[in-house]
Amino acid sequence: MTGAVAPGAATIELDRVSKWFGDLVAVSDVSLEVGPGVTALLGPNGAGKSTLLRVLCGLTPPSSGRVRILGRSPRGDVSLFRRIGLVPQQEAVFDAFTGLEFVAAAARLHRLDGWARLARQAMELVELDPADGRPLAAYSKGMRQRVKVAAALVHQPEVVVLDEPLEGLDPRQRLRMIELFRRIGDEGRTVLVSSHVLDEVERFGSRVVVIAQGRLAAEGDFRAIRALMDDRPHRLRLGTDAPGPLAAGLLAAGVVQGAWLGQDGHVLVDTFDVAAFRRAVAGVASRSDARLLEMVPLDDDLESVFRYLVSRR
Amino acid sequence: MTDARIIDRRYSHYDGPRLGPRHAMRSVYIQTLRRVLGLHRPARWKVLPILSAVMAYLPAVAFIGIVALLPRRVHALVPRPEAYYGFVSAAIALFVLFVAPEALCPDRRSRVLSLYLASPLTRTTYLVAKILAVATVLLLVTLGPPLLFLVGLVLESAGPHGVTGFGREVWRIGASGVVLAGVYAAASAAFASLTDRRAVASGASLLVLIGSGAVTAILHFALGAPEWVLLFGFNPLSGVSAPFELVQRIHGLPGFVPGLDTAALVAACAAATWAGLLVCWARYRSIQVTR
Amino acid sequence: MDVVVQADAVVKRWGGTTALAGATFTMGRGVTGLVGANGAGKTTLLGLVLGMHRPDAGRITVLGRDPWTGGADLRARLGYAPGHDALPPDVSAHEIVRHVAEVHGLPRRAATERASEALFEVGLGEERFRLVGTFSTGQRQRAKLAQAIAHDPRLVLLDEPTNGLDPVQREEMLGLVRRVGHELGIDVILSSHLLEEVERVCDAVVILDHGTTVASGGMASLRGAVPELIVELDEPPDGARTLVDALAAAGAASAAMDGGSTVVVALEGDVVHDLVRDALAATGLAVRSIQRATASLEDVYLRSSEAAPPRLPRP
Repeated sequence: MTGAVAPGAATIELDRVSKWFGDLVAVSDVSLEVGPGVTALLGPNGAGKSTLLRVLCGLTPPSSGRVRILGRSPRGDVSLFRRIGLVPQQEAVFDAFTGLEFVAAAARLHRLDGWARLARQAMELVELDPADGRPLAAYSKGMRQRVKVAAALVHQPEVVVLDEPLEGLDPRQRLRMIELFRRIGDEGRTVLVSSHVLDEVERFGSRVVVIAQGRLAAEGDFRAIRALMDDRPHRLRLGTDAPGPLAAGLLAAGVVQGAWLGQDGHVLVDTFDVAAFRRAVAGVASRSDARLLEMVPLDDDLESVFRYLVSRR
Repeated sequence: MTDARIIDRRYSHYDGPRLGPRHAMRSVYIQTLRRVLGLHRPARWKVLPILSAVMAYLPAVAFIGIVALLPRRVHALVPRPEAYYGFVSAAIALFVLFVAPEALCPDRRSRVLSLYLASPLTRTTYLVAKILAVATVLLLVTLGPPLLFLVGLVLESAGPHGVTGFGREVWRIGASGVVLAGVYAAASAAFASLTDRRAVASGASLLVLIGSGAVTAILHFALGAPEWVLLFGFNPLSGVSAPFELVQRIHGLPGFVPGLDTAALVAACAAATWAGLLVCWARYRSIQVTR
Repeated sequence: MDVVVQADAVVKRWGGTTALAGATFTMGRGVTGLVGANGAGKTTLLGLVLGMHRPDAGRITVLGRDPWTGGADLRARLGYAPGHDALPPDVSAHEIVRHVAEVHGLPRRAATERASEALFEVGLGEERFRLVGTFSTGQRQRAKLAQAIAHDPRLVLLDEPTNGLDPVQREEMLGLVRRVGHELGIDVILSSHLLEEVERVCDAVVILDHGTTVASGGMASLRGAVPELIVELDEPPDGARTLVDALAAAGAASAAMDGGSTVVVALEGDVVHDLVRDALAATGLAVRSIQRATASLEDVYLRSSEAAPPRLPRP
């Protein structure tokens, strides 16, 4: 399973990290561990994700707390930079270089042997043509994104941090990039990806870290997080040919706390005991002589989990 | 129980009149004027327009004051209307440097241009509205102050004689104002079309316009080059430049370089104006917003 | 009229590159998605619809008219929210929306009123007199939408309107788009890279690849209704097998898959729904969800864009 952190195997550790800029607290008291595999970093705009990533990579020191990557502090530990790859969100490419030159420059900065070969390999990894002689200024946004990822991977780092790496990519490119992340995650690298597109985050793997208003809101397998949110009822939509009787039956059986009859033959139910509901619904439908056309949980997905986590505050 | 209503004050469909491209041009024109003159904007955007207006109108007010309040002996100090342009040249230069960049560059920098082009406007109609706005602002200092001065003189009975004289002066001032505004609007708009950054546009127009004056002056006066090189001088600050020479000719005066043919001056100014407009048109044609 | 945009073998070249190589499709009322790889021709197509350039070959009509020749008139009835930032930072939201509405033909007073209405509609009512430069990404995207709809256009072109938005903001923006398309009665062309949101919001979709149309049509018909029922159980793996056996005994064909907690049942007739229900009741298995199988838009996209061989260099 991607992202399961065995004790002592955490590659990124944050211990009560805070970062403030004057009066503005961007990150507040965040403690978390990230291990090998792919972990998604989620949070609303302005929640402090980018600041957190910068602190994590050592680009800026925490105002308080400790950051450890591979057991060492990333601040001022130059040898550590060889083992971290960062893809920032801003446009950070040199327009005059060709793609290969840019990636090769990154390789040479890390003083790698065989940098030319590694640069070519990195470009092929992101499906760019190393022989393309055009300067980066002529590249589309999606290609520039991929070049940045190649530059961050060329030195084969153990830790890869990516801030919105899929921006500007079309559907096929996105899928390929996600595949790439999973592959390097499976190789044992620690991949931390921040993203806003939750449908895709569900494909990275199931481990997430959620930041809201500068604080850690939740971390772990998102389905497990959902299961923990038991102070909230589950909502499901049932499609049936007999909405009234089905709703009545469910209420009578005590497995739902609320039922709402919709216009087009569906029933919305809220239940506080989803386990009991799941076991009982078919039986109730059978006894009420209601055909069960569909049963759709409306807030089991990552998006609902996310919304709940960020709006609670 | 039927005397209650709920009025839905949300978005509704619009059934009113829809005006055409001319209305759109007018809107752009007025919007540009407001922006450039600092209206409805923070105070710092009003500094330049007010400064320029003061520099341009103050001499007129001062001279009228002299004529009105001081004894006749001192009146000789007051210049004739056609010499007034030297006094406003600083104001003209300020506007030339800053108005067109402010009118044209921000729309491209912030990429609002794509919204304009997705409207009834075309590149041409948009440019026409913008350049007319620039020219209008220039007219404020090329036309306004001399006219004011003229009116002031007339009111103090120090002006030209008779209605014919007055009419001729008005026409001369009008023509001069239009020539100066037209040439410099086109030239400054051309510079503003070539770069998205206002500072660069201002700097470029400063260099080229003043430079042209300096270079042609040196060529002719110091190095003895023939007079027609001065046709290429467009310095807004000095009297020895093609548009200002033409202004002198319009007022029936020989100007600084009498040997220079008036027709040649007209041609030079017209050519410069067309060249400026052509540069704008060509530059905007090559901007693609949905490639 | 029901046809909003009609394209017949439209070709458009930019110098040596062919952006559109013979695209043919029809877009109708409601919200239509425009999907395709970078360089597939989406932005060029939006430009053609706006009459900003003319096709090198083929024909395109928008609301029954040729956008190139009928440009000014047509664009008065179109709204456009480009993919990039397009609002001046030193002007208030109300001011720019009002100005754009005016430029689209509204008299000054009407433009002023409708600018406020549009800004309230997109949720920026309170902020409408603040400078756009002080807005967050979410607010800027909304302001862009407001300037596109303020003049009550017939058709609105939205290029990646959820770009840069976090999940909650994205859902709100999609809700706005749905509202514009379905409740306000303004037709929408939504260009996006995110297939899930196109799936959620659009009534129909046009998929471009290498400058041609590889798929188009109503969302439901494109995705197709596969005659299968997907039953997801909340049980350990052998639960699926139990269900399959129970269904087989009742005469319904099915198979377990996906790690053992999902069962796919062949939907040979409506009665299968009852067989599944009864089998679940009898076995006492806990069921998470029951859904009709459909191809996702992503499946459709991948299938259709794979078919077209890459003739042109990818940008």
